[in-house]
Amino acid sequence: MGKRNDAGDSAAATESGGQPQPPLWEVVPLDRFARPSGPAGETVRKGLRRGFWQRLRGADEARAAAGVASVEEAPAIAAPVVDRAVPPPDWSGPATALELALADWPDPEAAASVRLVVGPPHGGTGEMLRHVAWARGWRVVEAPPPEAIPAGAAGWLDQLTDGDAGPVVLPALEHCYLRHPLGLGLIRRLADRYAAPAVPTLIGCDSWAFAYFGKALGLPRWLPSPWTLQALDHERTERWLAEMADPALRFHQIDRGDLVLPPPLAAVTAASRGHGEGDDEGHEDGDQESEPVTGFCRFLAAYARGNPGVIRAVWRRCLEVGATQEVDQAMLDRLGTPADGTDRVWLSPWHKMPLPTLTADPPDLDQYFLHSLLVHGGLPEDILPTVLPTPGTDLGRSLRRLMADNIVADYDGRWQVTATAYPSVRKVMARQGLLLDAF
Amino acid sequence: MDDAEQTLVRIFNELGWREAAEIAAIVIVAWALTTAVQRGLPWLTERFHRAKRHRILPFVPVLKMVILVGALAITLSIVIRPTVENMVTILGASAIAIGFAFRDYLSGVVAGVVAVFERPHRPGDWVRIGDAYGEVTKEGLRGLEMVTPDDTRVLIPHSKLWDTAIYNANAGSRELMCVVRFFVDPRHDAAAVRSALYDAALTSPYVQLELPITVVLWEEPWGTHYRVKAYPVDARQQFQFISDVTVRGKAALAALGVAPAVPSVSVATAEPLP
Repeated sequence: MGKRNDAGDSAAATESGGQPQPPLWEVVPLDRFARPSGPAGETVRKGLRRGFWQRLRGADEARAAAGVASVEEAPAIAAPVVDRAVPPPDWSGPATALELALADWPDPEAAASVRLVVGPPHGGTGEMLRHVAWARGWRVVEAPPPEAIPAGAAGWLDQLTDGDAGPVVLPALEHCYLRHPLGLGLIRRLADRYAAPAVPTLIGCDSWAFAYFGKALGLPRWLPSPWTLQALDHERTERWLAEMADPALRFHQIDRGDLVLPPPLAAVTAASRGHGEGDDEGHEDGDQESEPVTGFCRFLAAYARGNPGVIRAVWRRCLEVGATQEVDQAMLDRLGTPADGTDRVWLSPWHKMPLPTLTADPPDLDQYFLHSLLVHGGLPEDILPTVLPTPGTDLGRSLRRLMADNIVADYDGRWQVTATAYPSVRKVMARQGLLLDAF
Repeated sequence: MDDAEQTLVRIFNELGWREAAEIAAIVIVAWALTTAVQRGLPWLTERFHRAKRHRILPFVPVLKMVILVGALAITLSIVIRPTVENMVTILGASAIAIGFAFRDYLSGVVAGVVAVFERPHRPGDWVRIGDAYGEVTKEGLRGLEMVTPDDTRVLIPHSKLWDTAIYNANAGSRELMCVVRFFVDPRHDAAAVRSALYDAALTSPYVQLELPITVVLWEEPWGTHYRVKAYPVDARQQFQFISDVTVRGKAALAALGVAPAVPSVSVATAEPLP
């Protein structure tokens, strides 16, 4: 996804300072997926600040009663420098890692088989599969339109076996069903067909839909063990964000002036720096000769659960907020003029970062609406009344309210939980005891 | 001082202003603690972990009982010289006197104590006692309070425990089974209808997927009777869940072209008046 994230970087370990670095992108079996953890101190502090006191004050209740989800206000200013720091997504790195994982697939000597890749929302699973299909010349079969699913999507299934025997890529299995009494037939027929596949098929599936299939239909029992893109821990997050940014940018924390990302040269030696458990007020353990780097990325990676799409969106939001902050003149004097013609970008400390937050106890309508969006991998507005037990007018009102609070947004005609709000929404779903994904 | 006076002196401590202040303080603290438990615990569970409220709320009556027994014991130790002989004498005498005067009230209190240990109902449970069905919101000393689905508060004395059946739908858990009925014309493909009604429950956003969904059916003289049994995520959503499964089930049946049953009503001819 980064500008300089070529195949070699993503696919193979590199040597820096004598220490082997793990590849930035890895596609691993689901049971090897490991979420990054945040520093315990920050967890407690944030738990107290955003959880305990907020709930004790009843702030959520007041907001919910007013019909407004709880969202921290933050200016949305897209400074040009933000575009230099966060270029458009490029999924070639993860796709290369997936190609490596599929090196021995399909086996022309063996019977046709299925490979399944599962990933969380905004995790780039579909994009990764389309990239691989494009690179290898495999045929991509998109899901049928949602309004055709209750009627059985006649003819769509045949597309999967039409044409030559080459592998077929079905990048979004989550779009092949509806949570409607007539919406499960297609996925069941698909399951029957893939019990003995006619052509090799690479399937991508959203983690929430995968969880629903597992509970409701028992699909994972016949599907092969899924693979997934490994979560980005804080070291990989640092490397990725540094690599995608314009090399002439330096990212500083606004309260102390310390670097948030290591400069490109230091990135090479990141493995030798040794990352102690710092906090966003202080430094991580580091080489005395290198500039101190804050623990910002440790919090970012933990908050985003290692999800690259969420990391990217939150990072961008942090930069937008930072671009509106006043920088202390004394600090500028202390840091001096950038020696090598670089530009400075400022970020607030992590704990002061305003991010869209769903109220801890949202109205039932909002929570089921958001849960439906998650288990379907997003839905068009006209399909919402089909899957939800709510009149369309109420749904429309809920949708506009959540959209105004940056909780949901329209992605190519489908309403989805935004990447920045996703961690907060997932937490609320867990608190309400609703079905969760494994990521 | 005669014998009776001497006996009373042996039993009771001398009570002065200080003792009276101590007793008043105990009453106030016990009342404050009881109120805090009664109101504070449900309030906190709503705010912090709604999914676990059914595990936490049953502790309310137990804690209240502990507070009351503790307060009573401390108060008695101030008023009475705490020897075995004195305790037996005073408790025996007071039990007879109070027993006659407040028999019904005490029956309720004793039933309340039994209810704390037997747990036929707990705060958060959905129970039917007599004609009333609703969620238990409060367990008092003498009775319980429930709120019906029509938002009516019902107070039921604990003494009902002695002679009335208590139907508890969830018994301390968050989920309760809901039964959705469908009455269908008998001329249909029963396997297809059963599968469609199963999917109607399976696709409801309210359904608890961790628990089983069952569809049972049998023939009646007027048609086929289906019962879909499933659990909503939260017992408080039982009526929304039933409504949603009904709507989904009717849509699925309509898509299958299955007609609803029409009960054959036989109306007896009224006998002619003399």
